[in-house]
Amino acid sequence: MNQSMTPIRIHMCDDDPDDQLLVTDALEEARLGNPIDFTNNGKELLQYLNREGKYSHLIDQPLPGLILLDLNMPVMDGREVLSKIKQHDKFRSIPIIVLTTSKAEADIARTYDMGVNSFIIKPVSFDSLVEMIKSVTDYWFHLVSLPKK
Amino acid sequence: MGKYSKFKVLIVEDDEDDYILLEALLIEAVGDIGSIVWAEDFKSAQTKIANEHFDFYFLDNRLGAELGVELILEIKQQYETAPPIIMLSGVDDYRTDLDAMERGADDYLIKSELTSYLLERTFRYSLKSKDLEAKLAKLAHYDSLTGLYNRSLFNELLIKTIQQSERSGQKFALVTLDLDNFKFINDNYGHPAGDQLLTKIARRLKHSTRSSDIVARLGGDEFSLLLKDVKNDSDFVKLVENIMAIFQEPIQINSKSVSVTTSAGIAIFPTDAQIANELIDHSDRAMYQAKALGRNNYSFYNQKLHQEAIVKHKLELELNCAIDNNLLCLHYQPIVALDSGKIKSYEALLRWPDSDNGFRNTEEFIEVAEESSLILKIGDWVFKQACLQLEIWSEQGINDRHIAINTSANQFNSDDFTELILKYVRKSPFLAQKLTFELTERKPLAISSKTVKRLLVLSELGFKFSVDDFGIGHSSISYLRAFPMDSIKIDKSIIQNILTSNEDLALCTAIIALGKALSLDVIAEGVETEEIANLLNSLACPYAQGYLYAKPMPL
Repeated sequence: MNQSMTPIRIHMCDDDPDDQLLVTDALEEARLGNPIDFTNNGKELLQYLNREGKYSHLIDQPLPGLILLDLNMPVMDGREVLSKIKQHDKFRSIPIIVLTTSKAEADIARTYDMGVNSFIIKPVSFDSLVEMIKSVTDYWFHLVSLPKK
Repeated sequence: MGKYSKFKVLIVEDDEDDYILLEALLIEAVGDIGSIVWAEDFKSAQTKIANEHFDFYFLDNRLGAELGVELILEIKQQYETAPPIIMLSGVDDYRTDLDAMERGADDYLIKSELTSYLLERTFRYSLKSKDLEAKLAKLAHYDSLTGLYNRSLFNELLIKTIQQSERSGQKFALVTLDLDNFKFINDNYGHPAGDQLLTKIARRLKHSTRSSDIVARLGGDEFSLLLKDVKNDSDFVKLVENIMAIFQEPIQINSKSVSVTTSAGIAIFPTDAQIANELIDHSDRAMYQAKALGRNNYSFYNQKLHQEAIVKHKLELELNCAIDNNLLCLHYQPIVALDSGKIKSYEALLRWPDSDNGFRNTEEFIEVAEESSLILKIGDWVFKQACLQLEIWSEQGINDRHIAINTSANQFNSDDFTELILKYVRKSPFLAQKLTFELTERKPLAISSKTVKRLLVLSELGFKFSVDDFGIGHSSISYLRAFPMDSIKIDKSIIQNILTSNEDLALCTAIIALGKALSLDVIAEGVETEEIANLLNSLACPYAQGYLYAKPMPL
């Protein structure tokens, strides 16, 4: 019986407010109930994970169970923040899914071997986004047993 | 976490042993289940079905005098696509089996044949087919690109909304949107980019409207909305401007910023059309009108209404700004005792100075304020100003002056106004002895018992209440019955006729007698000549107010 369990928090790092809206709505449409929060670039994501600056009030909250990461962002892009996260003892175990806008972009990104868990092309239609969110959460939260901290 | 760890299953079974057995088999079959709820008779099953949602239902058919199959319809009514419903029976009865199937059960199992293996398979298969059913239902009603309603569901919802509106008497707007430069984007960035744009616009639309509104994509770059729960026409302007505003921010398509605009046409039910097709046609026409105006524009089908709504909306914005910037002011008109000429109190009247040293039309802006929530804001402001004036007098050592302010019973319907008053009285208790609330209504108003209680509290503190415009306003007599009133004010339209009209003279005489009988002070409004004052005095009317004594003046 798992009724009292709170669903795992998802974090999305993406500078496009429309994409943030889309993912919020898709999560709701999929009736998953996972809470989600957002940052707009790699620098903010690091602050968020370290609970620094405007995120210091989150100090007692658990880290997200999954990060959705955009590659092209201002200030600090996805590649740079990825390498920083993967070098970090505490954050490296958080699964990261990179969202790309095209297959070509995914192929190029893959060659960098950044220790990313998967690359997914941002679905264009809302329906496929809902399906993607469902299968991603299903995979990461249900089937894979995450390494213990 | 297992696959079904969030699942809620309802088992309706009147035999406890059978329930325990089924629960055990179920857990053996599918492992960890979120929760299994047991309903032990028909009645408790009905309650649970009506109040909770489950992902799976098991219904025993024999439930005392009732039959489990009777519950199928009740479950189906709760959902667009109901979750799987499995019938259980003690005996293999072909007729019950058929009956259950016809009513929409997904499977029929014999209790004595149950195994965990059979249950697991039933569970899996019925969920799979339900999933397909739900997907098909979704395809038929939703636009898969944007996730919004499609044309067919929109048309159904439009008809439903018309029916609701006919019952409630509330207006609603049908808004048709057509993007202005969508073809350019498709041609220059490619169709996938166009699709991305539509998906993002759909989300912005969804978030710029309220949850009661309906947003649909009818095809191509055409969106339609139904805006409901609107109090007045200027609200439509507000809502449509919210929608137009979402196009101000450019949209990122393949890491490029793209700007799009839209043209919108608005038709209002029932003003513009009373049937669905006509309403659609009118909003389309209005949309083309908007396009002809030069894109990035909106247009109402009814131009006159359009102008009026825009004027009202503008007035509302200006008034809000005037309140915030303290541009309103109060003028005071004395209320005097007819026999001695002594001043009883001052009525505070709201004024809004305009740029030409004159004043805006009070009637007009109060009407707009009453249609929105601004009237509450104005009410708060007037109260605070009156208190301020009383405090100034008190500091100057003038302690015999009272102020009457105009209020709507509506203001007392929420806790806020009463709390504001109580806050002031805690700080300066003398205020309660100096203030009268004059109640007047343009529209009939139902007074709740809660509101009456609030008024009683204030009355006990010392505040006075007066019925304004007595004789012509709504609810006058009912106010006297419901509240602890202290005075009534005879409307000026009656007073000004008492020399020439026997009816008005009789009415005035009767109201004065009514006041005497109920121990209320009676005030005659709009007294402008000596003759009228003398007549009122001879009728033993105690108080008067009007130009004969003084105009409303700034202090």
